[in-house]
Amino acid sequence: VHAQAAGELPDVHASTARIAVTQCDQSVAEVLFQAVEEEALEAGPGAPLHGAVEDHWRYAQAATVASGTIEVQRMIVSKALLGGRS
Amino acid sequence: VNPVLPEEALELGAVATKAFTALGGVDLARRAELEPEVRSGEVAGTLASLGIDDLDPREDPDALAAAAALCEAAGRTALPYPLASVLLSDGEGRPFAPAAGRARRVDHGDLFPRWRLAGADGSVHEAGPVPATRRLGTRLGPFVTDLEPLPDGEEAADGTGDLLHHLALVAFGILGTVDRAVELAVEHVTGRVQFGKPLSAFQAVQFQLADAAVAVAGLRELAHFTLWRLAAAPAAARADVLALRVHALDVARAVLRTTQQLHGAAGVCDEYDVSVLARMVQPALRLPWSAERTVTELAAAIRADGFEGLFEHGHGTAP
Repeated sequence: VHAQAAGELPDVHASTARIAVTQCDQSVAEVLFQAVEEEALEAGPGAPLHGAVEDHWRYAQAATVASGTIEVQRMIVSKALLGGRS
Repeated sequence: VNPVLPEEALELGAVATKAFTALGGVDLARRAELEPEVRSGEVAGTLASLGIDDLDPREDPDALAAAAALCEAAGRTALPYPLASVLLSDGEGRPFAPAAGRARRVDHGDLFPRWRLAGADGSVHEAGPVPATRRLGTRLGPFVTDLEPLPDGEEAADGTGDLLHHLALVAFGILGTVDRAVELAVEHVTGRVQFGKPLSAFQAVQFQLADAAVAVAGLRELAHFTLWRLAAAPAAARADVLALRVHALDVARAVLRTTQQLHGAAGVCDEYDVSVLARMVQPALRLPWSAERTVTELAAAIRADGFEGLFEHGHGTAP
């Protein structure tokens, strides 16, 4: 965050962070669904955590697509690692 | 063990797939969310014409295989109907469902006035929708309904056999869904052009498709093995059926994730079938037990009955 604020964030670091965070997002969403069991099928104010669990799970499904797919993020990271040797 | 279903079952599955496609395929599930009555109308009518009223999966291995093929076909189009439950109806037309949680939560529970529900201990009681009953109507459980015990309801001691049959048939429905999801992903990546070539030209895409296809093929093998076990040794099949469910949930999570991802943003848009399939299969993945809870049930079954495999382990094996 500091690097980004200073305008010094290389693409590879941004992509690295994004790969980690979006996958974590999806894993956490599924863990929460396992925790609430059959209430995972509910939505809205009456659902677990006022519907935040269900909302998060559905939103997380798109995390690895939105703002550049995880495949493109991987291309950026691997290009940086290989340094033009691929 | 036969790794493919008998010819007659495969034929029934093919006829059913054709019939469900003629009804609109996945569009029927989209329609049912707006017009829930199509379930007891067109869907029930089509299933009757396929002969489900005369099909009892508990009767013999051929009937079980035919029921499995029907459930797989239903899974391919997210057929909005409690097919496994209805196939396991008793002589009085009461469908069967496991209901392990507090809420007696059943997919399409609103469709029938009287259900036979099995609790976590296998005991069976009658339940049904009461006047105040509402479908959840959510994105992930549009037809899920909480039932109430009936005041004049009958009780029965042991629903274990029906429970195992239900779990196995639902696994075949999940198999149909993930198999179709891979086909849809193949269609999408071969048609969609990015960076000047079809997505399918990228090795990263090819590898994901290969992993998904292997996962589906593995689930199919295990599903067929479990069906054979259930028919050959029903009393000893509890751990096998639970292991099938554990694996089916695992495969569904991974394959739906991959196939939706390969669709890009379209994977979470209901205009695309893969998105509707992924939503409509959720009740099967969460009811009666989530993946974690199913693992707990499996561990208990192995402790009680053992788990026959290539090597000795479980019940009666010295530590």
